[in-house]
Amino acid sequence: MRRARAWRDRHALTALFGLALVCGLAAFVSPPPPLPHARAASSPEAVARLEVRLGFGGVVKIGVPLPLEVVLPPLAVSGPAEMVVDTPALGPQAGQVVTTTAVPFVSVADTVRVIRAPVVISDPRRPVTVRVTVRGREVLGTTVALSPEHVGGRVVVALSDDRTGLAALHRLPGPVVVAYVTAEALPRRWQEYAAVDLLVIRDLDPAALDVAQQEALLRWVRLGGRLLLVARSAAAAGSTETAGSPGGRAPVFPAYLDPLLPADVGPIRALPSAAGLAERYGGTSPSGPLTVAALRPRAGAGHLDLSGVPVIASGGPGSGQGQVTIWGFDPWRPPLIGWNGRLPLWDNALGSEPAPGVDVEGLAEHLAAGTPLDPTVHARVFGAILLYLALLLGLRRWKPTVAGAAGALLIVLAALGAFPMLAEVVRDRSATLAQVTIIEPAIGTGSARATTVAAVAVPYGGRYRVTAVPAEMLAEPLTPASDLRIVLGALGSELTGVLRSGDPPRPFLAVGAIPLSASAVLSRDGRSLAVDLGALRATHVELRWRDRLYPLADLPAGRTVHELRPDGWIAAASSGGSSSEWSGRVARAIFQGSGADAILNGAAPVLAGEVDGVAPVFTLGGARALGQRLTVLLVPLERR
Amino acid sequence: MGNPVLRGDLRARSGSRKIWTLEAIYLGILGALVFLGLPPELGRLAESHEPSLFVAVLWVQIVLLTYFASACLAQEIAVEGEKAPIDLIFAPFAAAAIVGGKSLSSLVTILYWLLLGAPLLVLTTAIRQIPIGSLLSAAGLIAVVAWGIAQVGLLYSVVFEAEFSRTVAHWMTLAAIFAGTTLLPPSLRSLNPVEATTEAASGVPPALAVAAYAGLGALCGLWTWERLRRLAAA
Repeated sequence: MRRARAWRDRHALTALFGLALVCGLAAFVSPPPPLPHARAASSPEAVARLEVRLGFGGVVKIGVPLPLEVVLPPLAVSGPAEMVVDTPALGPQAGQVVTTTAVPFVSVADTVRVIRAPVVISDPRRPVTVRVTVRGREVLGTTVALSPEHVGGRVVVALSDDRTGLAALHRLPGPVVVAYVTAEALPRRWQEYAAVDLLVIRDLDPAALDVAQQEALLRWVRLGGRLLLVARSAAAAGSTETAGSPGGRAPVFPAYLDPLLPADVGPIRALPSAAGLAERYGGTSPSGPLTVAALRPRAGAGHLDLSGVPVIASGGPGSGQGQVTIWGFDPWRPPLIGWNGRLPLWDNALGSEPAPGVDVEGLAEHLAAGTPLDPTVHARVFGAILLYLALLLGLRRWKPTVAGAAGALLIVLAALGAFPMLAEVVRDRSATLAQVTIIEPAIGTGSARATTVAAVAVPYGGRYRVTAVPAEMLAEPLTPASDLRIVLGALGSELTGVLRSGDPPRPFLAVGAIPLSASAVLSRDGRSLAVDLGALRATHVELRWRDRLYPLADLPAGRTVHELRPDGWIAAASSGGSSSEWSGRVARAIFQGSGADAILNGAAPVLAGEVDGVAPVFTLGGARALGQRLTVLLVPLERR
Repeated sequence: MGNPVLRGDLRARSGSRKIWTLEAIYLGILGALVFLGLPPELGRLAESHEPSLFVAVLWVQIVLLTYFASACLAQEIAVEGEKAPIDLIFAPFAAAAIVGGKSLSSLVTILYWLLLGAPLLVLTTAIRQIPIGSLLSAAGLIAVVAWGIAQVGLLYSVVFEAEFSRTVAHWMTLAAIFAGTTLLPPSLRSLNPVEATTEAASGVPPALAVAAYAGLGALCGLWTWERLRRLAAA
């Protein structure tokens, strides 16, 4: 009995000792109490995940605005919130340059939110970081890595239920990357289509795009986008008449695309062979019959016929500067899916890479050249220094005593209060903003592309705050800057950053569209010019073509007709028609820069002039200097 | 102001035309430099972002103040009404009072000149948003260096009787301090007043230079006191 008790006691002691040891070890190796940040990470919000959709089905292009859509899970807290996106950029110091884009919003607890922001990726080697803060506290965050195969030189975006069949396009020069997307992935800002070289619409539910997406799509096409519509025979068969058709039955394509279409879609026809396609695009003739939707080209549209049936239509007056093509056949279906001539066909639809128009980087450099300090600032500083020295030395001369020397200290005190204020005036008056807006109307569409290049100079260094309005203008930096923050607001974008003393001016770019109906028509014989500037009035107007120009002086608003003399054309180099030395420099940057070929070497001349009355896009906060501003109108001439 | 030597020197310097001229030259140079340096430094290399004008003003300031302060104590610039230490030993003043009074009057003059130039420096630094800490650090260094070297001038005023030899020794000393120290190894290069000012302006505490010139000033003061004491006893 005693032995049993002793055994129990011994084992109880052993167990207690073991428990203490385990507790001690546990206390030693267990993690410390969570820090506030770690607690945030283990909160319900952190368990929920951000859903990030970048680019077009993950496909991106470097250096152009891309759509970014972030789906926020229900958050536990309400209040002022912000989504912050850090996009790496290639800068002089590798791995250190990040542009921050912030979208403020109001978080409502237990509600799913979708936040969108355009982002520009310049360095695909580093991930994009997305963070969400509520009331200043970070509640969610994630990173999005980019895989090299998703970075395209040229990008084809396809809305198709069949998500295969275009793999061969990567053999086209570019290289071409194909992104299959659903309708929800299409941008709501037309500028976010900048990465897209060809948008293919094969399967599109007319109700799938919201109004913003529809408007963005139409505007992108009218301002230069390339759209390929595939009239699937199955869809065409379901509607015996088609888009814009007199029959009034369900159209093949959504009604909002109708103004763009180069052709109406007619009845289904079965062609015995597609040999005509092989004759046109090469390769062996596709075997077997080809079912097509017969097209009815609209006035002004080009078309390709097979056996007398139009099957490809393109062009048309409704597409502005863009290119809309309709294929009456389905390249995803036999016999074309296996046709070896389909690459040239796609290459034709993709078109050649558009030549860059205005050289924005070159223009920014010319804007930035020289930031003269306001002469009145010089005068004020000179006067202040002179006054200070005169008062000081005058008092010391007038009262050469210890009391006089002490009195001089009062002047020093006053100067110590006044000179920092003078310094602030110097800083404010030296910070300047120079901007040039180039307006290029898309003929027949009632809208124009507006490209604004601006340069902010803070010669003595310091923080700057630039506002870009309206919100439809998409503003971005032209050069990488590690301390740049873009806040996208409802009224516009605010760009803030810091320039050090001696830093060159920081260039920005804003691209948008404005409503404008301007046109210029040159007669076939080149002797008569009809210009309609709408509500605008232009000064220093001239026709430019290659290395020649024809001065027209100033043009009033509305329609004017001018007789052109053949001997009125002069060498562009002898032009002196700008309003100032600065605007002359800007004109040289536009018409002699690297993008000049695309502007001046077209089939017809371009009408160029300076325009008054267009509101500035960029505003520099706190700057008291006037800055410099110029609006240039570039209207390509039509020949009729 | 219990020290009669200090009181007398300050009174003499306040009323001196020569000192007024020195102040006009000093402030005129600073003012011209600040005004001419007003245009921003554009187009420089991205790496060279030193606030160069601010540093240049400080360089000019340390050179001018050091020379003026030491030349006044070395009797190279004879201030009207101000007596030399060697003359004061015949008055009923103790050697310590003479050395203390002369040292303090020199320091007060240096600080006063620094204050007179301060608004011009503040204008430059505020335009370029240079931290005020850099300005204060540089001003402190200038005061110590100028006082330390002025004490050498005080010593020379009692060591050299001949004016010519005193002036030569003074200039040799200035040349050694401003030019000779540039030949020192890099670890001691901050003993050069101009180098030390550049470091102070860039935010590096000029501890070595402050200690060295404060020590030099104290040493020269002690030496002068010892010399005056011996002269008085003789």
